[in-house]
Amino acid sequence: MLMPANDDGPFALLIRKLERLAKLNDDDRNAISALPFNIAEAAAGTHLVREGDRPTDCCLLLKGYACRYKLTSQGGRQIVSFHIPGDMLDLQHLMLTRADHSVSTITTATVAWVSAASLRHVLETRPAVNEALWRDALIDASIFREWVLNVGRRDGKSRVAHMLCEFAARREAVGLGTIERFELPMSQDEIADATGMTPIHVNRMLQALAEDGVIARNKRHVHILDWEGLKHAADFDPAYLHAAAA
Amino acid sequence: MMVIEFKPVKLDCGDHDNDAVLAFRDGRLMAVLTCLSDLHGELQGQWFLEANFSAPPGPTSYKFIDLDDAEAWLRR
Repeated sequence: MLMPANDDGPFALLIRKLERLAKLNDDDRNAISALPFNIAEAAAGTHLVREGDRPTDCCLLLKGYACRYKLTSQGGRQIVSFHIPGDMLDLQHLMLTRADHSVSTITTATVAWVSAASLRHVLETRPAVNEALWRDALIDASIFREWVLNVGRRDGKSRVAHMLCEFAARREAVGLGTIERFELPMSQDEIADATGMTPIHVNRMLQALAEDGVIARNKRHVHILDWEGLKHAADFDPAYLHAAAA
Repeated sequence: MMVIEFKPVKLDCGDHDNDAVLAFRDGRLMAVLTCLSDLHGELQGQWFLEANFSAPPGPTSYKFIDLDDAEAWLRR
């Protein structure tokens, strides 16, 4: 399906994000805007990349939300990151041929598939774009390190609170809304798979955060009543997000 | 023939999910199962595998419809 995702073209969010990571000039912006792309609409739970695939295109998330995950041989799922509009979901396929994890939407989503070869050509000819995507990949790695700490060493309430803080901070940084109120796109099963807990524990921890007075919740609508209190409960320091936080 | 026994206990875990059983096999503690409270909506009344010491890996949902269901798993 070929259609513009919004009035600014499919790369507007990406360009805005990369401008926070490196100083781009008009030629850099034009080189990105001129990349060939295919727009696709995806239902919630659609696989964009499966482990073992050899993708020739990179996937840019334009609308909706997605996650990356890995599976144990027994089928246990560990979600390793959540993604918001403007994120490149599989930047590593510019350089690595085989997908080492899977990427799936968690809501209805719009994505742009961008030829990896074309994107590599832009990186070779536009050093500032190269620098920005390098930084983007390094920030991804920093977020993965924080998630290892979260899953490995924080208690249940902190893990869930940390996921809420990260989502709120990243969402605000790309201009998707204020930090205080949002619709949580993840199900409790998905939060459980992201925090290494069961959905039962996640439900208890969300209830505990509400009883502590730091959040109010109505189904998926989250209202952060006390941002400092939630950050404290989460042991959240946004420094690891670098330019991905405001 | 192994003997499976459930001993009711109260969990000191705040205002929810306080009713639990200790599950023993031949006198040895295998697992703790918690009866889910109204906090969990339609799952209320199901038994959740709270802690697993020596039982086989639990079902992926970690839940049992009733204690007979849990006992069948404990006997595996």
